[in-house]
Amino acid sequence: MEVLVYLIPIAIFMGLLGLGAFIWALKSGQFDDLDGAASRILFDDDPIEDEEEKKTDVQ
Amino acid sequence: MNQCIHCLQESYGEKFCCSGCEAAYHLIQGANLDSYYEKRICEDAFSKPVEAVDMDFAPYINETDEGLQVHFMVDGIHCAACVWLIEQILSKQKGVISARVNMTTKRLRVVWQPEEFTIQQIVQTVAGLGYRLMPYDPKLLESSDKKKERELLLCLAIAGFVSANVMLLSVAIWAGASAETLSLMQWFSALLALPGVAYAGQPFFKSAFNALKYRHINMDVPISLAVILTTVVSAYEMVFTQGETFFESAVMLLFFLLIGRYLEQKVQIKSRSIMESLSGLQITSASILEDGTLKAVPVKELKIGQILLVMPGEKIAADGKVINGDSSIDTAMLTGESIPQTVTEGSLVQAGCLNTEAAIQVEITAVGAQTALAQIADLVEKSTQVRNAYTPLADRVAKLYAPVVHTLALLTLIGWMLNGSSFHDALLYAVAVLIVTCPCAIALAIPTVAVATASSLFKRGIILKSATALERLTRVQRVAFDKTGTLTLGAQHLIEPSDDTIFELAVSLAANSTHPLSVGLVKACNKPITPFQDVKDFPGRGLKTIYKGEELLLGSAEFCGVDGVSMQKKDTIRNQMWFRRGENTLVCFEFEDALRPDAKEVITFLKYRHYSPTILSGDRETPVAAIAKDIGVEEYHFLLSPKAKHDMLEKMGKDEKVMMVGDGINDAPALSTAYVSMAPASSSDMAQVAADIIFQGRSLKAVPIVLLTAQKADKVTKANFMLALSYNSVAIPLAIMGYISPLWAAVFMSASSITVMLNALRMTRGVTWRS
Repeated sequence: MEVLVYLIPIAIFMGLLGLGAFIWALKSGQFDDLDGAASRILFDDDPIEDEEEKKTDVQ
Repeated sequence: MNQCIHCLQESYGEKFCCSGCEAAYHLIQGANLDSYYEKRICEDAFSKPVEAVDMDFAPYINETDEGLQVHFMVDGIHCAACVWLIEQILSKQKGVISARVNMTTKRLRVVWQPEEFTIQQIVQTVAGLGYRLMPYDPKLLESSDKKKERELLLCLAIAGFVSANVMLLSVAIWAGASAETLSLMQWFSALLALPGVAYAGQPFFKSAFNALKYRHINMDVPISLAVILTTVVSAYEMVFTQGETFFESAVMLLFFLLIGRYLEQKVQIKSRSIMESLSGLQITSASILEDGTLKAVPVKELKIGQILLVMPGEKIAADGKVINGDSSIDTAMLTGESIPQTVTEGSLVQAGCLNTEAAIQVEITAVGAQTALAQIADLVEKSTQVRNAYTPLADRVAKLYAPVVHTLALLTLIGWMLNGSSFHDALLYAVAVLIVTCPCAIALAIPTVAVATASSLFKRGIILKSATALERLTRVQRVAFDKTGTLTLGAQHLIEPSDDTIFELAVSLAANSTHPLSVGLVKACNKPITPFQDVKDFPGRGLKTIYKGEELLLGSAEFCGVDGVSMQKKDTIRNQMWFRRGENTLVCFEFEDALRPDAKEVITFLKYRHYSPTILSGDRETPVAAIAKDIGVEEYHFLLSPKAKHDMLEKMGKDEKVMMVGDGINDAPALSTAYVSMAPASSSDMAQVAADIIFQGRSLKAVPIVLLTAQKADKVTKANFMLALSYNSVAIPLAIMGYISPLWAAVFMSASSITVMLNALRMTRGVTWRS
């Protein structure tokens, strides 16, 4: 059973990684507009393309 | 009648109802965003393009690394398509770096480069699509809410992580791990649980500490006590006696409670942000004429003697005297009067009234606290303070529950010591009592139901502003209604529409005016018509044009030269509009203020359930009596001033619990005096601030829906209490006798919490109401 001494910390460490990812997502505002996020995915237009267009316009 | 392509409202043009909608359509087409019209999925009418608010934006702009940044509240967002359109159209403009709409809070954040784009252009672009924008300072409005929500979510995440891991370790303990493994598991559990409890328990500890500081007791006091004691005693046991630990119960308790707390706060923030948008979007600036130039001034800075310019469709910002222009003003919000009043040079007007027809200039005679409006606001504030004394059910339960539980624990301790146990054992038994009685399920019983109910009402366009409104609703015995704007739609409705040429001519003429009766006439026509081009407008009196050599007149009896004989033939309680063609044809159109759909059914329902419906109106006797008779209300009061309405509710409130439904400024004091109050979303801002519940839409069926929902919620809450108490009634005797092991404590705690939450989910389905 000695192996537990290594395995449990590893398991907890991996859990902490997940928690860290969640906290990062929270801090970067990904949980601020859950309604919007649910609907945005349905619009297939790619806004990045538009931005590129705009940038070439500016140049 | 056609439907406007852009705003989906009725239109008498072929494609568009107004030039604003046409411009918006071409703007969208021009930006290649016409898939917007396919994307939108909601069927309600959209708002028409509006004039951009002209104001000083400088205080709202702040600099970031990328450019200037401003936050707006947006009015008129219906679904995700609106969000998409606003973001797309702004980000296609040169100079805009990012535009992001938060759909939950209906807020817009724009970052742009000042060299290429101005804030006025932002506001104009979006206003041109039909959305009203109002800048706000995010530091003042939402940062505290956002911070709180994030903190709670963080606590929830930590509690979830810790409880899941501790639970895994505990399974090994319960399965009967041997001495060394047991100790290892306990140490790992403690390593996770101690910091976890210290961090995730903060929302409860803080609230309990605050309550104790002011010598109150709330649910958080027994919760904090149980969590802290459990953790401390477990740590002590682990270090000194190698006994049993209860870490898993402590962290799971926090996890469950945090779920409830987080959901509760989310609903609160959502309804608050809607309320903030509603009040923030009300006009806060007024136009004044100074040395011949027009200046936008915040309402607060108006001074006596200044000249206000009030455009049609605008609210008058201060009390004053008309010095130039003729128009008619709608005083329904202030007095309940259903007929617009004609004003001309020298007429006195009051703040809060709506100018309907033509621009007028008003010399200000009173501002701020001296206006009639401010006196009403004062009355509202006074009665609101009285009502806030209501203690929520949860706090009343806590007051009862906490002493009982703490006495029980103390008795257990004393009992076991008298029985010959050591202090250490007796203390353990007492802690076990505290753990199993920790009011997790009871603390969840009320908020989970409240959250499920609020979100189900939310989906039906009903916003609960006050957290205790539901509890108070269950005790209502009488429902008092305002008439104009509440039982009725507050719009003029033609009684007998026809489709002959005379009617069409009248409509073509009426289409040139914004007078409420003209609007009512146009609405009654179901054919496309072309408005006359060359029309002479006499504001407050009527309209005149020449058609095929004949003179057409539309307006008051006097304006159309109606003689006394034809006048007498007509009923005078209704609003009338006359139409004359040439010398011979003379027609009278009669209007009434149309009832809200379902008004009659709602009253029948209320009578059937013994809610004694009553009408309290500021209008004259005849229209009030006519409506009362029409919908079957026996008790009605008329010609009530705002103060009289307030006094009446105070008087009624002595014997009965009265619910007030009203929309006008004149109802606001009554709304804040009533036991519970409701206001339609179309109502004045003051009524919305005073009311507990806001409902959207034209139908009055929100009234029976909230009453039935409150009753159902009450039943579910009571069932939740019974469930929670029945778990306790099994667990407490076991704990007192000393039979509770950590395993059983965890099982009881989570089972009761989960049952209570599942039971609360019954409320998400909402109630059905059929007349």
